[in-house]
Amino acid sequence: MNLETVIYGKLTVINLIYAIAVLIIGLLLTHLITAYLKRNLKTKLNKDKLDLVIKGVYYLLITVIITWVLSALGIKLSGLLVAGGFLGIIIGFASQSIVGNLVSGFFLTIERPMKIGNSVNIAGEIGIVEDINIISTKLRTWDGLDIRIPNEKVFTSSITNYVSNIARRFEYVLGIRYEDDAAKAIQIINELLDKEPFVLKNPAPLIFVSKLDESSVNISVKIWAPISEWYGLSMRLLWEIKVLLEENDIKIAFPQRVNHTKN
Amino acid sequence: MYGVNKIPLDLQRESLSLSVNKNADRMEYFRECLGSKTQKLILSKQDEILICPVEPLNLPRQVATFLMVEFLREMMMQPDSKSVIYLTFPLEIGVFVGKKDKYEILDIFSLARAKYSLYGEPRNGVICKYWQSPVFLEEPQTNPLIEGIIQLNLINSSKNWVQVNKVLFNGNGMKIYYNNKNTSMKATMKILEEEAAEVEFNNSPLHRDMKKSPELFSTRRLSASARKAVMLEGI
Repeated sequence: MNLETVIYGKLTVINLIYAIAVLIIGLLLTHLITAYLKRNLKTKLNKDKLDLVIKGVYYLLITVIITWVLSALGIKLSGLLVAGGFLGIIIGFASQSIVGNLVSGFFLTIERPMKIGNSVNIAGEIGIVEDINIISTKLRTWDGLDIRIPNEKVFTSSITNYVSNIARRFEYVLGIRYEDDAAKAIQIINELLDKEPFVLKNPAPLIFVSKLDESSVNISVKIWAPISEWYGLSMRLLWEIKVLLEENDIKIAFPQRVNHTKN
Repeated sequence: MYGVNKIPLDLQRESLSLSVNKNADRMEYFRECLGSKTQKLILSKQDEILICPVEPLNLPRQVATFLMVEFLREMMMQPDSKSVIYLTFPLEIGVFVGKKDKYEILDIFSLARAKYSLYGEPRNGVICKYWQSPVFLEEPQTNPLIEGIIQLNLINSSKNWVQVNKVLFNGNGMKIYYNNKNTSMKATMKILEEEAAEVEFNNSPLHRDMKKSPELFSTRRLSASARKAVMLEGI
């Protein structure tokens, strides 16, 4: 077979082989370069910065390869731009949401309201951020489910980042009976919290009577804890407080109504 | 108790019960301390273990790399002056297997009360282990199982009187020395302004016969500034 044989327009067999070789070698090199960067930057950058660098390098190399391959195939980029202008209008209408997601992904990368590994609530979906790419954000819920949220939705929704600060506060409201001594209850709770290592000394816990309710005297307990410990602590402490109060003859009040009857 | 201990070992001190028994090429380790128990099987022909204080930042779980010591009484210091005070700090005791320069931590326990606090604001502060200490002007007597001694060199390089209520130590760079009577650290607190200071450890023992504890918070890869505690949220 003659390598100079024209296949289509000015495209010869040798040009086609060259283009295929550029494509294969280019993709191989892209893979090797990104793998090399990943291995060498792993200890120097945190995961989301590393992902950003790797993706940036990947898409840059892919763009260079595509340009090179098109040039090897004899397709002029200036012609593509003219055709692209017209096609762009058509594709633009057809891919509004994709472009929206891309732009949102870009702005999310700049604004950085969350990092990979953070526990977040995005538009009512709660989970750990697994990946933030240019089109979508992936969450893993506490139930082990994966959720993919388009970046446009992420960008326009309110985002609650549960772990952006190093400490957070949680609260209990305990309703004790009217005949119980609220001051004693506060003292007992205070002593318990003082013994608990992860209840932060500063900011100090707040314990106070917050409401005189229909059937109970409500005591609010507001506790600061390290972000890594608050959830376990919040699950454990409420029961410990309840048990300790009852050991001191202070009972949690049940709903009750006093009826007075005449005659 | 501190130092290299031959096996078999049986220690009963205050609320601590620790034993290591050797059986052919394995060791059985048991420890009970203030209600917390641990039991381990060690496959080794070694016939000794090292027991010594370690950085007090590991229990109940390592969530902080800083130790904050709050003074039980407020202290004032005049401008351009130097002074030396002594504070106490909580002890955590490490049990190591292996040989010198290649020790491996087996267990950590403490008879001191653990408490954590926040230094600064939730957004940009640090979580730190919290301890309250009297301010001593001479080396105090302490229970060697519960408290260690910090010799703190204070340098007020500012032009104002300053009030010092607390000091923050960075676990990265903590140099702990021990003998059978005491555990000690030496540090320098350089007060820069009324609300700002730098605290750095000095790598020397309080007494000549003291030995250095292995460092769990290794500093080999850290710069000098990463080993300091910079206090910008009040002192």
